[in-house]
Amino acid sequence: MPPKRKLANDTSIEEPAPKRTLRSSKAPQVIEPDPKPKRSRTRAPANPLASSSNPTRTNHSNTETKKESLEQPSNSKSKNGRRIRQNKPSDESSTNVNAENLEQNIQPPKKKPARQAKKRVVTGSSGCRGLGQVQTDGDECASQNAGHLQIPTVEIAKCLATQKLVVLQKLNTSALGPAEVGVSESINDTTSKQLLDLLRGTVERAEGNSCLILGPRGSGKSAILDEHLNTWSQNQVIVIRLCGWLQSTDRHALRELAIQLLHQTGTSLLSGLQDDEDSPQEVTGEDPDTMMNGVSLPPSSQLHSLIPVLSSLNRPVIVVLDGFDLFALHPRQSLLYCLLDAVQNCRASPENKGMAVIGMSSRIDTIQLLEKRVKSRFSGRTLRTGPPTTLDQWQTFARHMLLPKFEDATIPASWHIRWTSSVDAFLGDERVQRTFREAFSITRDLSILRRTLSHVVARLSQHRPILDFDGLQAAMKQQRQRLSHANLHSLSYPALCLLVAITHVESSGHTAFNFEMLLENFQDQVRSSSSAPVQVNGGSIGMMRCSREILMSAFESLVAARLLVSVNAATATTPKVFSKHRCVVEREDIKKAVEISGQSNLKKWLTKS
Amino acid sequence: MAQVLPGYELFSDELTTLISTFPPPFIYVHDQESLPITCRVTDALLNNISLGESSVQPGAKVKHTRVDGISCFTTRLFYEAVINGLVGHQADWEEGCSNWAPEEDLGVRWNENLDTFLHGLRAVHRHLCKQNGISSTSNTASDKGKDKQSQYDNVRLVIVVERIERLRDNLPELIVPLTRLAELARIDVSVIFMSQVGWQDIRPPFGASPDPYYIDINPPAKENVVKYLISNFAELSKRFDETVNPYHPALQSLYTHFVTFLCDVCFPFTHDQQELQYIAAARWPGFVKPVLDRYTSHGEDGEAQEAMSWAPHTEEIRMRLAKLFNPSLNSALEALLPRQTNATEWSQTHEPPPNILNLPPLQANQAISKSTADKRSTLESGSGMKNLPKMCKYILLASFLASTNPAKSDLRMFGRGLDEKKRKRKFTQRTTKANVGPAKIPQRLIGPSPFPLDRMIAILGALLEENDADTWIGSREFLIAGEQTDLETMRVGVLADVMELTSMRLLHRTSPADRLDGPPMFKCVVSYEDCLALAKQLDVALNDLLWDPV
Repeated sequence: MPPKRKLANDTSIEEPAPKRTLRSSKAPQVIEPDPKPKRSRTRAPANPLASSSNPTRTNHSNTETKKESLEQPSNSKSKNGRRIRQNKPSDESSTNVNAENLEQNIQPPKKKPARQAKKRVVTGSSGCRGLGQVQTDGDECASQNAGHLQIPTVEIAKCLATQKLVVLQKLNTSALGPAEVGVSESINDTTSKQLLDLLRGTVERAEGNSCLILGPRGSGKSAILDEHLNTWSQNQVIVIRLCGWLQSTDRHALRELAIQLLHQTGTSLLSGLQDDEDSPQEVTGEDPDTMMNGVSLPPSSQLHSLIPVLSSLNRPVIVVLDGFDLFALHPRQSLLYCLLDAVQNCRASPENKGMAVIGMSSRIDTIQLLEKRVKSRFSGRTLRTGPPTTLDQWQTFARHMLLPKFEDATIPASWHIRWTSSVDAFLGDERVQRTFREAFSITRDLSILRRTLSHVVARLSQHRPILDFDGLQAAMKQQRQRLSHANLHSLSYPALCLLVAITHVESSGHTAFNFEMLLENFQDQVRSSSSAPVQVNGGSIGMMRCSREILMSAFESLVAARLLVSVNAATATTPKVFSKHRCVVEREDIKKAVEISGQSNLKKWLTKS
Repeated sequence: MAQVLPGYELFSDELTTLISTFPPPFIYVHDQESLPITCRVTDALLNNISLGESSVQPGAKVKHTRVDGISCFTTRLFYEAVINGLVGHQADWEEGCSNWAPEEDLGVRWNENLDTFLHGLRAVHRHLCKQNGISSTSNTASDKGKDKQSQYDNVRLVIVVERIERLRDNLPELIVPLTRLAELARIDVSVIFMSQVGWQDIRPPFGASPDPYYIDINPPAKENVVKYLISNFAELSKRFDETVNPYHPALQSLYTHFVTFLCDVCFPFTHDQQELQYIAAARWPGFVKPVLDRYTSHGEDGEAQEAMSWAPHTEEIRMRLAKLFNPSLNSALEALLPRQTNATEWSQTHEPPPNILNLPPLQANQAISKSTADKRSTLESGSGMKNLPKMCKYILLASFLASTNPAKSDLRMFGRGLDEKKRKRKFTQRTTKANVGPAKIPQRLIGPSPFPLDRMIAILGALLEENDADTWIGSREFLIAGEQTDLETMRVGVLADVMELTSMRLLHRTSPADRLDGPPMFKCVVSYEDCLALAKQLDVALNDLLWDPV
């Protein structure tokens, strides 16, 4: 964010105080159309402004800016650079009027921002900046319409903090319910229904059920399952969660299963079995970590016999297997076999309470991974989840996240209105929509949207309390379109020298190189560049010298940053300077970095063939 | 709120906002250049949050810990570091260095594996909830979580893992569970990875981890570094009690100029604030010594003098100091950045003679360079190779040649037939070969190649015969040319020298020690520059003996 812009925004917040007091006394009828922005949908960002556009004639600048903001959407939709440019003069005049108005309010130092605004409009070649200007004006205008908007700066900070809290909570903790997207026939809905039916079958009718929830990452598998599992209290069902990432072997998994059972039932279920065995107490005595609340875990040799017991407990059991595909990769798939076998043998009888095994995976060929004997015990029921399929859903989701409902008595209503209208304006901005479209066409993962919006919201500050395109763009750059080596240009001079030397070594046909080769290359270049007997300001125009040791430390820092990777493992017999490395950075990236760094000597060296 | 380091305003704002509201479960902080500083900033920031009740969310508590990928090289160490750190438990020697354990179930070990670690984490969460006076609604019922709100119990755990790339090398199995810790442990926990390596190099395969919330730290800008170094001055001046010290508050303005110039010189070479601070610490006492000298010479008279001599330094003095000492900054950089010496030693060698400001400028300059040279000569005892016996030097030289020259070239380089001309190299042969494939790299750059002991002995013989045979006494009894050299090289002493050099790691034995067949293989690990120095001492023209001369 350039400071120039910040300054301008600063004023947009600070200036209203005196102005608005004036206005509110003069034009109270403007307050009426307030609630409209709340109802307005994403598509019609300018609605609130349109509704309030009946000219009050009391304030010149007010109507002027309104016209501006009215024109804005049509302009941007037409994508006509000419029209935007046409728009500029009036834009300028409006800011002028603003400035005059300000001066009337006896605030002489405020002339500066006006001048700045003018400059901005003139310099904005593509019209983008001009638009931005229009938009902020529109925001301000909308918020002015929003009633007695006398939110002092302190208040703004507080309101903003609360708003951030609520939005971030929504973004980072709430799961995506199907209703929130606002679409009735999404795939997640049907999945949710089917899953609920299945779970009900187990819990209420003591069925043995198994199913697999399949869907890409972040599509709501766990969310749907959790939502349904929460409908029953712990006294009604036993839920056992296993995860393929945690329990890398069946033995671990069984052990964890036993511990969770112990936690939830309070008894070691194999106590009956243990009595038959010889001295189980002795085993627990040796192994203190199997003791838990005085009840001991069965010895590991007996853990297998836990699974058949599951279906005969006094409560229905639901086993959740996250990372189902990983369990399928365990040798002989014995855990899956036992669990699914238990499910299949689960007969509806008064003493049996049902059992369900629910797998979750994002791997499409999970079913094919199952062995035949396991597959035949699996019901084959596959429920699918998916991310939203249309851009509308995406945007509705974004809107939903940005406009959470919350009650806080300390927050003035005007703030809500202002926030709502700013979100509307934000989502209605053509450039924002384009960015969304772009992101959506590449990934439909909602978590990216969450991250991006979190970034935008977290970066809001008192000086910039409104969502805008620049923020979104920065967020997208950081969260989605990440460059692999963005900060290369800021490397120190020796490190950049090494990178350039690497390009030369690589272009001579050696992809693997050692420090000595780079050093030789560098020293040659220094020698040849300083051989010219030209001096500028009493200094040679040659490249700066670096001692061998400094270059070596730069080399090591590159290795530490993993820009250079050792080709073969370090051995004691090869000295450090001779061990071969490979460069991870592409030649193009190095070129760009050198260009950005602006060191002409390096540039010259790089282009030298 | 403590003072934020320059350049970190955005970062600390963002992270504070996130942590004190609702952080993403997994954050990745990438800082290529100044990770230690970033870690410190993060620590201070989290401390701040955990100390003060965040105004936004009343009642919320944040507990944090930082673990290091380097020190946690086994899973147990990692688990223990996390859990003890979160609870604030310090292992006590008297109590057998036991780990923290929850009260309710004693005897449970949570450092066995990941499962137990997660149980431990939940226990920590329960414990902290209890400790902070909030009734834990999650005692049993909401482990499964009736609804999201009751599941999160106002205590938020933040686990910062530093240098995650090391963790990935040592304990790759931990990465995936750590990135999903919140969903696996089902408590309010946020994991922050900090590294100078990008996430793309850490990311486990098959999309096993969710992508993090990225925070990139911008590389340090020069003006921020300068500000940072200047801001350290106040803290440094607090450490001194004496009235005359290089960090007296009155010297602050001089320090500002000094640091600005230091950064002008050194910033292109390193962006690391700590390194720059190190160089500044080495140079500054010498830089202000003339000023302090002047003050002490004035100062014995009393308070009245003090006020006068601490008066703001005139432009003239500043210029003189800069002229005297700024050239030495480069040598400071070259010596201290690669840590060829330490700051204390360096500042002692480069300490100016007393009362240098009283001398005329030209003399002052000379006095400084003289005193530096004197001290350096007394300090420098030379590298270890200077004091080797002559035979060892020859052996080193011979092994360097054996390591660098191709074996085929030996006859041409050292062979002595009847025809003296044969010794000369034939340059004609080179041009005949077509240039196919990548350009050939001289062996000197590729590194030493192993050679059999016999070959080295042969070269040693040739070297001795050429350069050293005349100096031997009692050579009359040998009649055949080279007979005495042969004898000398076959002595046990030579072999013993080879073994000694090997034990000094100037030679490397590449073949296993217990192999019986074939000659033992060695490699010379002395650098070209050192060898050149050796050759100079022995008066051998090294470059003439190299197949690929420099």
